[in-house]
Amino acid sequence: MFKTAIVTGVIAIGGLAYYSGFDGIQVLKTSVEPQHSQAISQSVEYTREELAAMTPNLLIQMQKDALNSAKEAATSVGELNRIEGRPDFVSPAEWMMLQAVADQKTDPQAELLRLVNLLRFNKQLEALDRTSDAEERKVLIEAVLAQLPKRIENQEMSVEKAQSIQLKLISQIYSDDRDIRDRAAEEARRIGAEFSIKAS
Amino acid sequence: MSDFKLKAGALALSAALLTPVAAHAAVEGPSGMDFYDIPSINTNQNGDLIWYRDASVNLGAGAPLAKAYNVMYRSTDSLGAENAVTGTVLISSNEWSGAGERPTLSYAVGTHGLDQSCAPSLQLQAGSDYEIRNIRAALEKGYAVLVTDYQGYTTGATPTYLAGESQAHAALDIFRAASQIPRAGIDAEAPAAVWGFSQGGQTAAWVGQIADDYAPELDLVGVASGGTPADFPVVADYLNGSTGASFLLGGIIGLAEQYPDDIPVDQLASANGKAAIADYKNKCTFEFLFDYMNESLSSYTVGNKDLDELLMVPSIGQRINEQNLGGEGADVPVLLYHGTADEFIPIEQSVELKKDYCRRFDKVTYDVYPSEHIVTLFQAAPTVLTWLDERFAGQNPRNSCYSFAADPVSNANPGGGDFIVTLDEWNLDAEILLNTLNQTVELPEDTSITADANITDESLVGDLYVPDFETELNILVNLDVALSVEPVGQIEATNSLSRDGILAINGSTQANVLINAAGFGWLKLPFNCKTIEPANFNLAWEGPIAEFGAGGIVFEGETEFSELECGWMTALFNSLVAGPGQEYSFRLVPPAPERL
Repeated sequence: MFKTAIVTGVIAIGGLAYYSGFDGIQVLKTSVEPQHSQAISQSVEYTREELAAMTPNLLIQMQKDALNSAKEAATSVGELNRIEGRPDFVSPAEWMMLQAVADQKTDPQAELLRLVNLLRFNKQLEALDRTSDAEERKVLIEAVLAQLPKRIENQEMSVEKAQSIQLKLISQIYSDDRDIRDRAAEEARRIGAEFSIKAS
Repeated sequence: MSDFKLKAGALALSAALLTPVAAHAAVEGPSGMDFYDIPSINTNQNGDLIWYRDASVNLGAGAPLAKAYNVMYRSTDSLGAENAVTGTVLISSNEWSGAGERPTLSYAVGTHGLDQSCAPSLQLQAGSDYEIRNIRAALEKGYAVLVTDYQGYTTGATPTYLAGESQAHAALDIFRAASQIPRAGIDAEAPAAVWGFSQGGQTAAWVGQIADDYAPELDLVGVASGGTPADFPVVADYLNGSTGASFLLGGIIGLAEQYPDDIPVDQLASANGKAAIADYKNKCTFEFLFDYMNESLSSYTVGNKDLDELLMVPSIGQRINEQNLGGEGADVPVLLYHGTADEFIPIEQSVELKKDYCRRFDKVTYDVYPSEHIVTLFQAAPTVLTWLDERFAGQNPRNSCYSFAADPVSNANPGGGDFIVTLDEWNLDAEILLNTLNQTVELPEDTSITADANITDESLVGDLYVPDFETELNILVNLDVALSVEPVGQIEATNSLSRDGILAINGSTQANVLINAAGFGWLKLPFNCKTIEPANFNLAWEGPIAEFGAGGIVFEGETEFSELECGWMTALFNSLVAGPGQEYSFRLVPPAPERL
């Protein structure tokens, strides 16, 4: 069981790395072909053995699906305050890893909740890099901006880093300098920072 | 000693012999600086305790010290004249865990300065003595530690700095004096050793050469002599106009004090020289080190006579050469040690001293440190104390006389310019506590820093090197992960050495973190994952210069890892590894010594 879990992680990570487009990857083949190569239900729980048996293609598809779910979740702004099972935006492989990390803390449930929220935030940031659709981007930006205070409160990000993200994103949703300044000042206040711009 | 001379302290003491006001016995001395006035108390023999008092010394928090005393005792200078010497006796609060009685160590200090305020006993009181770390280390062992001031720190006197025999007498007589302190528990017959570096190394080596004649009753088991000035003309030439030029000026003043007729400094010194001497006498080590750096002796002499010309004067040349070591053998096992990068005392003449002793079939252990002078002073402590423990245990020392290793050669920075301390592949004992994973990642053993610390212009510039390494990350049942820490740019810092020996470093270095591969055991899958911006590691530290050599400089802080670019795992790794609160600890450790 122990080794199976390890191999699962290795295969999962290896498969994902392969599809990340890095050079020189060694492809790890498994002897078992996926049974659900097209439609992966994110709500389905997988055992480690099942994950270990999946091909890299399938694992990467799961990552993509989870990312799409994170994008869709951007319409409902706000932190999750409880979780019952694996959310759709968390892939089965990620779910297994988050649980393993959370289990090392004194309050695993609270840590798992924190990690899930952080992962969703990071996926929405990642999704921004992967989409050019203006409307989608706007929704994602608002979602990210809304979550920044929590990231600081949880000490997952410094105020400086959060402010640099704010400025980068706000300039993408407004074209008018004044609007940018006003929104930047408002967002800065939300994270306890100051925003000032010198008059030219 | 046929050319018997009386010195200032000796004059006072001799006068006391004529009109004693108290019979010799253990007398409690006065408080305050009155303790340093030579009293009218009769003494009979070298090492007689003139007086003592309870001392308050500051060795830092947690020092294993049960009791401390100040002592003044009778000794003799290099010419055999009686004198009075002050010092400190420290009793460890640690039990002696070795066999037999608690050993007694005479710790012979290095250059402290000629002003009375530089006296080790006063600096130990103030907690400002730069050698406290070594003294503490000896106390940790459970030894009783005796620290002579050497002759010349009684009120109104001037130290006979670098007068070898005078210093050795003082370091030996303090054993006798300490055993006379009532209820101090120091046994005159306890196993004894002497340890010193630089001026103290000179003292220790002299002790080795004269102990049998001067203090035959002592159970001296060994002497440890580091950074030893053994060949005075060679050392003087090395110092002249160089980084350590101040020690040459101090040596001339000190030896002139011991041999005023033969080294008539008042006649030799120009007006500029006399002003320098007057100023020098009011300063301690880290003051004159910088104030007189790179000066040539000729700038102080009438007619700008240089060192070579002065040494040609027979009386001067003779007295200088009399300080040379190796003219006699060592009566006990000797540990010699020296730094190849020593910019004050050249290593080659120390190797020659070893050969002199070896020719006499003495037992000589020789350790080579890849370090400069001040670093070696403190870096050597653990090795020296182990060697001393072995002597106290009665073991036979390794005899480096039978070594076929090549003679070490100097790689010191050239003198005459900035005072630069080179850190050549110093080990960085480094670890990073990953915040979310709550896991400490230790950087590999070969992690190192190569840098030049320019003490003169107060800069520190160098490079960090971290070899690729593997560790386990607690992401999924201890996943093996191949990591790289990729330095970005150079280490840039300021450094300053204050006039009381406090070193301050302030700077930073930057590095990216890469996760190259992940897997289990032999199964590793390439997984090129990298922070998109380098993490910044602040390098700020302040403390005694001793910590530099002793591996006590630790840069600690928190840094933030930027997002990582990890393909389809980016969000996961950014959730688990990126972010602030990543604690780091980098301990700077000089490279290990080599025993010949």
